Amino acid sequence: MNAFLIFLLFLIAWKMPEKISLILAFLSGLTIDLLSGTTLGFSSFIFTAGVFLVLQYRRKFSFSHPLILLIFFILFNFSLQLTTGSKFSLIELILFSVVIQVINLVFYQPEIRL
Amino acid sequence: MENTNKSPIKIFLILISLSLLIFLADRVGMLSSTKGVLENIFVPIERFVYQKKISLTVDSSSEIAQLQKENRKLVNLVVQLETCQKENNDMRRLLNAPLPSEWKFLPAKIIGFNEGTILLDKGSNQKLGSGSIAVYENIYVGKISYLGENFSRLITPLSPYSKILAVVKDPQQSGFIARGLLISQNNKLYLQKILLEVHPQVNDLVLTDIQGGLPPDLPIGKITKINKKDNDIFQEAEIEPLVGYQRISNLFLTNFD
Repeated sequence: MNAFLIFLLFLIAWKMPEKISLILAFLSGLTIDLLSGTTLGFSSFIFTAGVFLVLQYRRKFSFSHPLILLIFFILFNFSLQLTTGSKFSLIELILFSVVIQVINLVFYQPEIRL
Repeated sequence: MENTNKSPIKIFLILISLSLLIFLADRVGMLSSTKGVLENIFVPIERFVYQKKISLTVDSSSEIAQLQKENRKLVNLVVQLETCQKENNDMRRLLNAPLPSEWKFLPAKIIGFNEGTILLDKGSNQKLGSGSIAVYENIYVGKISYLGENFSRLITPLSPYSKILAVVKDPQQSGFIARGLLISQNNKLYLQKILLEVHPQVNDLVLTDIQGGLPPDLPIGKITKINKKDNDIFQEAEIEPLVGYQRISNLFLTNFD
């Protein structure tokens, strides 16, 4: 559930306005904390920070291949695993790789800068 | 246009500060009443969703569920027989689970399960303490790790945060054979730090140990495999829980302190 949410937030951050992405990350973090019984503010801190990193990348680099999202997702999950001990599922990674590939085939159009 | 090019750093800093502020406020208990109100909204929804999910799972494999239930009953019977000290107590123990009569039980519904952690619809408003444990029939399910006003979080042996001192018993004999540390790795239970001199067998029962701060002799699982190497100091056993933590929908909480 959390992995899916993180992935969704990263996808939103990839395409949606920055302000909306950050607020969504904050609010979904609060909701997750409330539902899972963890201390309020913990997940919203992590989600907001993760989305901010994606946004910073989006601003700085023109290379916007969707596979970058997957790299973000893996790095983010590894850091979560190291800090909070939450599990990193290989099945989820494969599933999201397939989704990314579909997005890549259907929507991705490389930017041509002259 | 100018607005979209502005760095999101300002809103990011506001939200991060807000998160920290909420985190600290919650840590010191300033948000407990607000959380209580929100829990009142979320808990019934979570309960409804989880019960639906459970009923769908049980319907699809009702025969397996029935067999598992029978298996649990048989294991209970074995434990009850083993713990009997006098012949005239046998009948009473067969009819009742061997749990102390002074314990008061509070039924609770499971409203969520994630990574070995169970969410329950009972909290401090129902006079639960932080040392409460949960049992299913007489099988140990877990210990409360977080108490909200109207819901709580339970750490089962399958949680990566769980470490339980446990003993191994042969169902046919009295007294315990071995002692070890029950931990979870990759969603599997292992009893580690078992001395090489002792000889636990497959199908031996793993029960709670009073030295681990839990009530003694509550069954947790049974041994399915022994991993033993001659050059190691300890041996390890793979354990199968007696109850599928993800398949149950109700359990009993008791204040054990």
